[in-house]
Amino acid sequence: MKPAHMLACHQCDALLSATRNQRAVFYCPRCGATVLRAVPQRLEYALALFLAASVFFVLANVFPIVAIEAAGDTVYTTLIGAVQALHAENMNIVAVVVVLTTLVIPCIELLCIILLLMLAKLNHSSGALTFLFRVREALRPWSMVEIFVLGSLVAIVKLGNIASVVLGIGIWSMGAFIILSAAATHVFDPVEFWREIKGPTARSRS
Amino acid sequence: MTKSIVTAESRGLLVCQVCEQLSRGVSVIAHYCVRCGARLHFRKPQSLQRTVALLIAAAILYVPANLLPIMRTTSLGYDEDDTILSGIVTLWSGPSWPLAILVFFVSILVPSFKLISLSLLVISTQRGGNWRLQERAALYRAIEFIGRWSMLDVFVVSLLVSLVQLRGVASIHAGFGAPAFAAVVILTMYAAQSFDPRLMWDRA
Repeated sequence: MKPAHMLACHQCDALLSATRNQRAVFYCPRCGATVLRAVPQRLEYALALFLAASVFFVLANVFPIVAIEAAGDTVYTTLIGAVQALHAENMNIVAVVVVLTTLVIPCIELLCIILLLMLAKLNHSSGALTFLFRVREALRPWSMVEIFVLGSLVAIVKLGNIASVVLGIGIWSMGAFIILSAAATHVFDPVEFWREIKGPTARSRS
Repeated sequence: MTKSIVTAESRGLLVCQVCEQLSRGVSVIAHYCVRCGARLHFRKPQSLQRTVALLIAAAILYVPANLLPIMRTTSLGYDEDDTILSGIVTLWSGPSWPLAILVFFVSILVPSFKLISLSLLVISTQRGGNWRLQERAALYRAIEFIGRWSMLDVFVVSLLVSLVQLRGVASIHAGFGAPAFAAVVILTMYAAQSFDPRLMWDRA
Protein backbone atom coordinates (compact mmCIF):
# COMPACT_ATOMS: atom_id res chain seq x y z
CA MET A 1 0.00 0.00 0.00
CA LYS A 2 1.69 3.16 -1.15
CA PRO A 3 1.26 6.17 1.12
CA ALA A 4 -0.10 8.16 -1.81
CA HIS A 5 -3.20 5.99 -1.87
CA MET A 6 -3.71 5.90 1.85
CA LEU A 7 -6.63 7.49 3.58
CA ALA A 8 -7.84 7.29 7.11
CA CYS A 9 -11.40 7.45 8.31
CA HIS A 10 -11.71 10.52 10.55
CA GLN A 11 -14.39 8.81 12.64
CA CYS A 12 -12.88 5.40 13.42
CA ASP A 13 -9.22 5.87 12.40
CA ALA A 14 -9.22 2.88 10.01
CA LEU A 15 -6.47 3.08 7.40
CA LEU A 16 -8.00 2.59 4.00
CA SER A 17 -6.69 2.43 0.50
CA ALA A 18 -8.92 4.23 -1.91
CA THR A 19 -8.44 4.53 -5.61
CA ARG A 20 -9.42 7.95 -6.83
CA ASN A 21 -12.54 8.37 -8.94
CA GLN A 22 -13.72 4.90 -8.13
CA ARG A 23 -17.07 6.05 -6.84
CA ALA A 24 -18.82 9.35 -6.27
CA VAL A 25 -18.98 8.75 -2.52
CA PHE A 26 -16.71 6.43 -0.60
CA TYR A 27 -17.88 5.16 2.78
CA CYS A 28 -15.68 3.72 5.49
CA PRO A 29 -16.12 -0.08 5.38
CA ARG A 30 -15.73 -0.28 9.16
CA CYS A 31 -17.94 2.45 10.60
CA GLY A 32 -19.86 3.73 7.59
CA ALA A 33 -18.69 7.36 7.75
CA THR A 34 -18.33 9.30 4.51
CA VAL A 35 -14.60 9.32 3.74
CA LEU A 36 -14.52 10.68 0.22
CA ARG A 37 -16.96 12.71 -1.80
CA ALA A 38 -15.88 13.08 -5.38
CA VAL A 39 -17.34 16.54 -5.85
CA PRO A 40 -16.36 18.13 -9.15
CA GLN A 41 -14.18 21.09 -8.23
CA ARG A 42 -15.41 24.08 -10.17
CA LEU A 43 -13.82 27.06 -8.53
CA GLU A 44 -15.30 29.69 -10.84
CA TYR A 45 -18.84 28.38 -10.43
CA ALA A 46 -18.45 28.25 -6.68
CA LEU A 47 -17.02 31.75 -6.55
CA ALA A 48 -19.84 33.14 -8.70
CA LEU A 49 -22.45 31.41 -6.54
CA PHE A 50 -20.91 32.59 -3.28
CA LEU A 51 -20.66 36.18 -4.59
CA ALA A 52 -24.33 36.05 -5.57
CA ALA A 53 -25.12 34.59 -2.15
CA SER A 54 -23.31 37.48 -0.47
CA VAL A 55 -25.53 39.99 -2.30
CA PHE A 56 -28.61 38.23 -0.92
CA PHE A 57 -26.98 38.03 2.49
CA VAL A 58 -26.71 41.83 2.56
CA LEU A 59 -30.32 42.20 1.37
CA ALA A 60 -31.46 39.72 4.03
CA ASN A 61 -29.97 41.90 6.73
CA VAL A 62 -31.06 45.29 5.39
CA PHE A 63 -34.70 44.59 4.56
CA PRO A 64 -37.51 43.55 6.91
CA ILE A 65 -38.06 39.84 7.41
CA VAL A 66 -41.75 39.99 8.23
CA ALA A 67 -44.34 42.61 9.00
CA ILE A 68 -47.63 42.24 10.84
CA GLU A 69 -50.73 44.36 10.53
CA ALA A 70 -53.08 44.43 13.48
CA ALA A 71 -55.41 47.02 14.93
CA GLY A 72 -54.38 49.51 12.26
CA ASP A 73 -50.78 49.22 13.28
CA THR A 74 -47.98 47.88 11.12
CA VAL A 75 -44.93 46.45 12.82
CA TYR A 76 -42.02 45.05 10.89
CA THR A 77 -38.73 43.61 11.96
CA THR A 78 -35.29 43.05 10.55
CA LEU A 79 -32.73 40.64 11.90
CA ILE A 80 -31.03 43.46 13.76
CA GLY A 81 -34.42 44.60 15.02
CA ALA A 82 -35.02 41.19 16.55
CA VAL A 83 -31.64 41.33 18.27
CA GLN A 84 -32.36 44.85 19.56
CA ALA A 85 -35.73 43.74 20.90
CA LEU A 86 -34.07 40.95 22.84
CA HIS A 87 -31.50 43.38 24.19
CA ALA A 88 -34.29 45.72 25.31
CA GLU A 89 -35.86 42.80 27.17
CA ASN A 90 -32.59 42.18 29.02
CA MET A 91 -32.24 38.90 27.19
CA ASN A 92 -28.67 39.64 26.26
CA ILE A 93 -27.54 36.01 26.17
CA VAL A 94 -30.22 35.17 23.65
CA ALA A 95 -29.47 38.36 21.70
CA VAL A 96 -25.80 37.38 21.44
CA VAL A 97 -26.66 33.83 20.35
CA VAL A 98 -29.02 35.11 17.65
CA VAL A 99 -26.65 37.78 16.31
CA LEU A 100 -23.72 35.36 16.23
CA THR A 101 -25.47 32.41 14.60
CA THR A 102 -27.44 34.34 11.99
CA LEU A 103 -25.30 37.38 11.26
CA VAL A 104 -21.68 37.45 12.46
CA ILE A 105 -20.70 33.81 11.87
CA PRO A 106 -22.39 33.44 8.44
CA CYS A 107 -20.78 36.74 7.42
CA ILE A 108 -17.25 35.66 8.45
CA GLU A 109 -17.81 32.27 6.87
CA LEU A 110 -18.87 33.85 3.58
CA LEU A 111 -15.92 36.27 3.56
CA CYS A 112 -13.52 33.41 4.27
CA ILE A 113 -14.76 31.21 1.46
CA ILE A 114 -14.85 34.08 -1.08
CA LEU A 115 -11.31 35.15 -0.19
CA LEU A 116 -10.17 31.53 -0.21
CA LEU A 117 -11.59 30.96 -3.69
CA MET A 118 -10.14 34.21 -5.03
CA LEU A 119 -6.67 33.41 -3.67
CA ALA A 120 -6.91 29.85 -5.01
CA LYS A 121 -7.97 31.18 -8.42
CA LEU A 122 -4.87 33.37 -8.47
CA ASN A 123 -2.79 30.26 -7.68
CA HIS A 124 -1.78 31.92 -4.50
CA SER A 125 -0.58 29.49 -1.89
CA SER A 126 0.30 30.84 1.49
CA GLY A 127 -0.53 30.60 5.15
CA ALA A 128 -3.50 32.87 4.51
CA LEU A 129 -5.21 30.17 2.45
CA THR A 130 -4.90 27.53 5.15
CA PHE A 131 -5.93 30.00 7.85
CA LEU A 132 -9.12 30.94 5.97
CA PHE A 133 -9.86 27.28 5.40
CA ARG A 134 -9.51 26.40 9.08
CA VAL A 135 -11.61 29.34 10.26
CA ARG A 136 -14.41 28.42 7.88
CA GLU A 137 -14.41 24.75 8.85
CA ALA A 138 -14.53 25.66 12.56
CA LEU A 139 -17.44 28.08 12.08
CA ARG A 140 -19.57 25.89 9.82
CA PRO A 141 -21.77 24.15 12.42
CA TRP A 142 -22.53 27.49 14.09
CA SER A 143 -23.95 29.20 11.04
CA MET A 144 -27.72 28.82 11.36
CA VAL A 145 -29.43 30.95 8.71
CA GLU A 146 -31.47 27.99 7.43
CA ILE A 147 -32.74 27.25 10.94
CA PHE A 148 -33.64 30.91 11.36
CA VAL A 149 -35.73 30.81 8.19
CA LEU A 150 -37.60 27.74 9.44
CA GLY A 151 -38.08 29.54 12.76
CA SER A 152 -39.52 32.54 10.91
CA LEU A 153 -42.05 30.27 9.23
CA VAL A 154 -43.12 28.88 12.60
CA ALA A 155 -43.41 32.42 13.98
CA ILE A 156 -45.48 33.50 10.96
CA VAL A 157 -47.89 30.60 11.40
CA LYS A 158 -48.20 31.34 15.12
CA LEU A 159 -49.05 34.97 14.34
CA GLY A 160 -51.62 33.97 11.76
CA ASN A 161 -54.43 34.05 14.35
CA ILE A 162 -53.83 37.46 15.78
CA ALA A 163 -52.65 39.51 12.83
CA SER A 164 -52.18 39.50 9.08
CA VAL A 165 -48.61 38.72 8.21
CA VAL A 166 -46.63 40.11 5.26
CA LEU A 167 -43.44 38.38 4.20
CA GLY A 168 -40.60 40.83 3.72
CA ILE A 169 -37.73 41.02 1.24
CA GLY A 170 -35.46 39.84 4.05
CA ILE A 171 -36.91 36.36 4.30
CA TRP A 172 -36.94 35.81 0.52
CA SER A 173 -33.30 36.94 0.41
CA MET A 174 -32.42 34.50 3.17
CA GLY A 175 -34.05 31.74 1.16
CA ALA A 176 -32.03 32.74 -1.92
CA PHE A 177 -28.87 32.89 0.21
CA ILE A 178 -29.43 29.35 1.50
CA ILE A 179 -30.13 27.93 -1.98
CA LEU A 180 -27.09 29.64 -3.56
CA SER A 181 -24.79 28.55 -0.71
CA ALA A 182 -26.03 24.97 -1.03
CA ALA A 183 -25.47 25.07 -4.79
CA ALA A 184 -21.94 26.41 -4.27
CA THR A 185 -21.16 23.64 -1.79
CA HIS A 186 -22.40 21.19 -4.42
CA VAL A 187 -19.71 22.27 -6.91
CA PHE A 188 -16.97 22.96 -4.41
CA ASP A 189 -15.94 20.94 -1.39
CA PRO A 190 -12.92 22.44 0.41
CA VAL A 191 -11.72 19.07 1.74
CA GLU A 192 -11.73 17.65 -1.78
CA PHE A 193 -10.08 20.81 -3.03
CA TRP A 194 -7.16 20.30 -0.66
CA ARG A 195 -6.87 16.69 -1.65
CA GLU A 196 -6.44 17.78 -5.25
CA ILE A 197 -3.89 20.48 -4.50
CA LYS A 198 -1.74 18.26 -2.33
CA GLY A 199 -2.41 14.55 -2.43
CA PRO A 200 -3.04 12.57 0.75
CA THR A 201 0.57 11.71 1.25
CA ALA A 202 1.88 11.00 4.71
CA ARG A 203 4.83 13.25 5.27
CA SER A 204 6.79 13.66 8.45
CA ARG A 205 7.23 16.86 10.31
CA SER A 206 8.24 17.19 13.90
CA MET B 1 -14.56 -9.20 11.23
CA THR B 2 -12.73 -6.00 11.99
CA LYS B 3 -9.46 -7.75 12.82
CA SER B 4 -7.97 -6.97 9.41
CA ILE B 5 -8.42 -3.22 9.91
CA VAL B 6 -5.27 -1.27 10.74
CA THR B 7 -5.68 2.06 12.47
CA ALA B 8 -3.78 5.17 11.46
CA GLU B 9 -2.62 5.59 15.05
CA SER B 10 -0.94 2.15 15.11
CA ARG B 11 1.14 3.24 12.09
CA GLY B 12 2.08 6.54 13.71
CA LEU B 13 -0.22 8.53 11.46
CA LEU B 14 -2.40 11.39 12.60
CA VAL B 15 -5.60 12.25 10.75
CA CYS B 16 -6.35 15.95 10.50
CA GLN B 17 -9.89 16.48 11.81
CA VAL B 18 -10.26 19.57 9.62
CA CYS B 19 -8.93 18.53 6.20
CA GLU B 20 -8.44 14.76 6.68
CA GLN B 21 -4.78 14.88 5.66
CA LEU B 22 -2.52 12.19 7.12
CA SER B 23 0.62 13.30 8.93
CA ARG B 24 3.31 11.22 10.52
CA GLY B 25 4.12 11.86 14.16
CA VAL B 26 4.81 10.59 17.64
CA SER B 27 2.54 11.18 20.59
CA VAL B 28 4.78 13.30 22.83
CA ILE B 29 5.33 16.21 20.44
CA ALA B 30 2.68 18.75 19.43
CA HIS B 31 1.89 18.24 15.76
CA TYR B 32 0.30 20.47 13.17
CA CYS B 33 -1.28 19.37 9.93
CA VAL B 34 1.22 19.54 7.05
CA ARG B 35 -1.53 20.72 4.73
CA CYS B 36 -3.88 23.04 6.60
CA GLY B 37 -1.90 23.77 9.77
CA ALA B 38 -4.56 22.63 12.26
CA ARG B 39 -3.42 21.21 15.60
CA LEU B 40 -3.31 17.42 15.45
CA HIS B 41 -4.07 14.82 18.10
CA PHE B 42 -4.11 11.04 17.83
CA ARG B 43 -7.35 11.23 19.79
CA LYS B 44 -9.29 14.29 20.92
CA PRO B 45 -7.72 15.34 24.27
CA GLN B 46 -9.69 14.35 27.41
CA SER B 47 -12.57 13.48 25.13
CA LEU B 48 -14.75 11.50 27.54
CA GLN B 49 -14.19 13.81 30.52
CA ARG B 50 -15.06 16.91 28.51
CA THR B 51 -18.13 15.28 27.01
CA VAL B 52 -19.36 14.20 30.45
CA ALA B 53 -18.77 17.66 31.96
CA LEU B 54 -20.67 19.37 29.13
CA LEU B 55 -23.46 16.80 29.32
CA ILE B 56 -23.92 17.35 33.05
CA ALA B 57 -24.11 21.12 32.53
CA ALA B 58 -26.63 20.62 29.72
CA ALA B 59 -28.73 18.20 31.80
CA ILE B 60 -28.92 20.71 34.67
CA LEU B 61 -30.04 23.51 32.36
CA TYR B 62 -32.45 21.15 30.61
CA VAL B 63 -34.78 21.43 33.62
CA PRO B 64 -35.30 25.24 33.58
CA ALA B 65 -35.25 25.18 29.77
CA ASN B 66 -38.38 23.04 29.79
CA LEU B 67 -40.11 24.26 32.94
CA LEU B 68 -39.60 28.02 32.74
CA PRO B 69 -41.67 29.99 30.23
CA ILE B 70 -39.84 30.87 27.03
CA MET B 71 -42.25 33.71 26.40
CA ARG B 72 -45.15 35.62 27.93
CA THR B 73 -47.99 36.86 25.77
CA THR B 74 -49.94 39.84 27.06
CA SER B 75 -53.10 40.32 25.11
CA LEU B 76 -55.87 42.72 26.20
CA GLY B 77 -54.72 42.62 29.79
CA TYR B 78 -54.44 38.85 29.75
CA ASP B 79 -51.09 37.26 30.60
CA GLU B 80 -50.21 33.88 29.24
CA ASP B 81 -46.93 32.07 29.85
CA ASP B 82 -45.69 29.62 27.27
CA THR B 83 -43.14 26.91 27.87
CA ILE B 84 -41.60 24.98 24.98
CA LEU B 85 -44.20 22.23 25.37
CA SER B 86 -47.25 24.47 25.80
CA GLY B 87 -46.18 26.40 22.69
CA ILE B 88 -46.32 23.16 20.76
CA VAL B 89 -49.73 22.29 22.22
CA THR B 90 -51.05 25.68 21.06
CA LEU B 91 -49.64 25.09 17.61
CA TRP B 92 -51.15 21.59 17.52
CA SER B 93 -54.65 22.58 18.53
CA GLY B 94 -54.53 25.80 16.55
CA PRO B 95 -53.09 26.81 13.22
CA SER B 96 -50.93 23.98 11.99
CA TRP B 97 -50.44 20.42 13.23
CA PRO B 98 -47.67 19.50 10.74
CA LEU B 99 -45.61 22.39 12.07
CA ALA B 100 -46.42 21.29 15.62
CA ILE B 101 -44.92 17.87 14.82
CA LEU B 102 -41.82 19.53 13.37
CA VAL B 103 -41.32 21.77 16.42
CA PHE B 104 -41.98 18.83 18.75
CA PHE B 105 -39.30 16.88 16.92
CA VAL B 106 -36.56 19.54 17.02
CA SER B 107 -37.38 21.09 20.41
CA ILE B 108 -38.44 18.13 22.56
CA LEU B 109 -37.26 14.92 20.92
CA VAL B 110 -33.86 16.05 19.61
CA PRO B 111 -32.52 17.62 22.86
CA SER B 112 -33.63 14.70 25.05
CA PHE B 113 -32.50 12.16 22.46
CA LYS B 114 -29.11 13.92 22.35
CA LEU B 115 -28.65 13.92 26.13
CA ILE B 116 -29.63 10.26 26.42
CA SER B 117 -27.71 8.93 23.45
CA LEU B 118 -24.51 10.91 24.16
CA SER B 119 -24.58 9.54 27.73
CA LEU B 120 -25.10 6.08 26.28
CA LEU B 121 -22.15 6.57 23.91
CA VAL B 122 -19.87 7.78 26.72
CA ILE B 123 -20.83 4.90 29.05
CA SER B 124 -20.54 2.21 26.39
CA THR B 125 -17.18 3.64 25.24
CA GLN B 126 -15.91 3.78 28.82
CA ARG B 127 -16.90 0.15 29.39
CA GLY B 128 -15.45 -0.96 26.06
CA GLY B 129 -16.63 -3.93 24.06
CA ASN B 130 -18.10 -4.20 20.60
CA TRP B 131 -21.79 -4.03 21.47
CA ARG B 132 -23.60 -2.62 18.42
CA LEU B 133 -20.54 -0.69 17.24
CA GLN B 134 -21.92 0.07 13.78
CA GLU B 135 -25.15 1.40 15.25
CA ARG B 136 -23.27 3.49 17.80
CA ALA B 137 -21.18 5.01 15.00
CA ALA B 138 -24.33 5.84 13.06
CA LEU B 139 -25.95 7.25 16.20
CA TYR B 140 -23.01 9.61 16.71
CA ARG B 141 -23.24 10.86 13.13
CA ALA B 142 -26.98 11.44 13.55
CA ILE B 143 -26.40 13.46 16.74
CA GLU B 144 -23.74 15.58 15.04
CA PHE B 145 -26.00 16.27 12.08
CA ILE B 146 -29.26 17.01 13.82
CA GLY B 147 -28.18 18.89 16.97
CA ARG B 148 -28.11 22.42 15.52
CA TRP B 149 -31.77 22.33 14.51
CA SER B 150 -32.92 22.60 18.12
CA MET B 151 -32.04 26.29 18.00
CA LEU B 152 -35.33 26.77 16.11
CA ASP B 153 -37.40 27.78 19.13
CA VAL B 154 -34.90 30.45 20.16
CA PHE B 155 -35.32 32.10 16.75
CA VAL B 156 -39.12 31.81 16.94
CA VAL B 157 -39.14 33.62 20.30
CA SER B 158 -36.76 36.35 19.13
CA LEU B 159 -38.95 37.13 16.11
CA LEU B 160 -42.20 37.09 18.08
CA VAL B 161 -40.72 39.38 20.72
CA SER B 162 -39.65 41.96 18.17
CA LEU B 163 -42.84 41.79 16.11
CA VAL B 164 -45.64 41.64 18.64
CA GLN B 165 -45.35 45.02 20.28
CA LEU B 166 -48.81 46.39 19.55
CA ARG B 167 -49.42 49.03 22.15
CA GLY B 168 -52.44 48.26 24.29
CA VAL B 169 -53.48 45.28 22.21
CA ALA B 170 -50.88 42.58 22.49
CA SER B 171 -47.23 42.17 23.33
CA ILE B 172 -44.87 39.26 23.70
CA HIS B 173 -41.90 39.17 26.04
CA ALA B 174 -39.11 36.64 26.32
CA GLY B 175 -38.92 34.40 29.39
CA PHE B 176 -35.96 32.86 31.14
CA GLY B 177 -36.63 29.50 29.52
CA ALA B 178 -35.21 30.95 26.29
CA PRO B 179 -31.59 31.55 27.42
CA ALA B 180 -31.63 28.21 29.29
CA PHE B 181 -32.81 26.44 26.16
CA ALA B 182 -30.20 28.17 23.97
CA ALA B 183 -27.53 27.12 26.48
CA VAL B 184 -28.70 23.48 26.34
CA VAL B 185 -28.41 23.48 22.55
CA ILE B 186 -24.93 25.04 22.59
CA LEU B 187 -23.64 22.78 25.40
CA THR B 188 -24.89 19.60 23.73
CA MET B 189 -23.34 20.73 20.42
CA TYR B 190 -20.01 21.17 22.18
CA ALA B 191 -20.47 17.84 23.97
CA ALA B 192 -20.98 16.09 20.62
CA GLN B 193 -17.89 17.83 19.21
CA SER B 194 -15.74 16.81 22.19
CA PHE B 195 -16.69 13.15 21.91
CA ASP B 196 -14.17 11.18 19.88
CA PRO B 197 -15.91 8.27 18.10
CA ARG B 198 -12.52 6.66 17.45
CA LEU B 199 -12.31 5.77 21.14
CA MET B 200 -15.16 3.29 20.88
CA TRP B 201 -13.37 1.47 18.06
CA ASP B 202 -10.11 1.50 20.05
CA ARG B 203 -11.82 -0.14 22.99
CA ALA B 204 -13.88 -2.64 21.04
